[in-house]
Amino acid sequence: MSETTEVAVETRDEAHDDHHPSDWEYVKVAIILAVVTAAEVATYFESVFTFFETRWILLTSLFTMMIFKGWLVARVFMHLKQDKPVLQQSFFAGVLLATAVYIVTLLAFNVFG
Amino acid sequence: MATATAPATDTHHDAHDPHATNTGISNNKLAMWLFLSTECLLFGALISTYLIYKTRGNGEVLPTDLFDIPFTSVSSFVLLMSSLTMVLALSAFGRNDLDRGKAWLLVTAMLGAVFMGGQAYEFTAFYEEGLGYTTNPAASAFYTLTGFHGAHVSIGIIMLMSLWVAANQGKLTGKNSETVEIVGLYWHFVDLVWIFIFTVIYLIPPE
Repeated sequence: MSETTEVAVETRDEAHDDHHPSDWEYVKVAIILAVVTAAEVATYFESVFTFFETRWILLTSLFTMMIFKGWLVARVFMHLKQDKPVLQQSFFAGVLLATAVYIVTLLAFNVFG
Repeated sequence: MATATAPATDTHHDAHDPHATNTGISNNKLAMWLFLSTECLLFGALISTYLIYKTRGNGEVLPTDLFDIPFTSVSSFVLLMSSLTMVLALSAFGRNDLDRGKAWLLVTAMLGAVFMGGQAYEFTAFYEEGLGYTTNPAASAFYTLTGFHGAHVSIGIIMLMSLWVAANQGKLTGKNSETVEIVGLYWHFVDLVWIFIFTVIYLIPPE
């Protein structure tokens, strides 16, 4: 029983360590990031900007693309997908704490109108 | 019997291995992740400060009046691509392909330098348009935020060049590629922060 558990733990650790993407996979992710960035920048130009009928649709689109890009960089380039969960938890604890603290701050200063 | 002996031997071995940790992650790597976690609070504070002050121009020009989005988009693209070259450097060191690893490190540092050149150009252009550091609260918040990010990029370039020199001296090989990974984590984080700054500060149009 103990032996089985050890094997299972080892296999899981190897899964964390040995499945780094290939160079081509990194290039594919970079292409996706470039395309999303181009889409973000496109919203700046008036012809595209007027497509968004309300400001909230524009903001939602921009924030969705921003979060997607950030998630992709952290997960693939920073290897959070393969690394031990404790690293992901440590990092996202900081991200969530910062987000919560500063949203409250911005609300207190009535930044969102 | 053999099963019982093996873990005991491993434990004994780990006790003498200076790199062994309870988490199975090296202390340096864990420390970098914790540092990056705290950096979220620093940049969160700087971004929030800018959002609070961005319309307080005291009748003077505002940063939003001067933004050159096509130019900043090119800078953002350059920094984004430097994340790709950084991860390719790490991948090369992992394969013990030192020549390619050194080349990618150098390309990453150069892309970072191009980004910094763009920021220097932007700051100079803004200053010539009458937007100094103390012109108004919006300007101070803008320069502090982007200046802090620029300082992080500059430190990253110094770390990349140090790695490049160490690799050329034979002190950095595939065996200690974790050093490249740790510097890479810092570099990707700097890119990550710029992704947020670019959208929140530059792309969201003023009401």
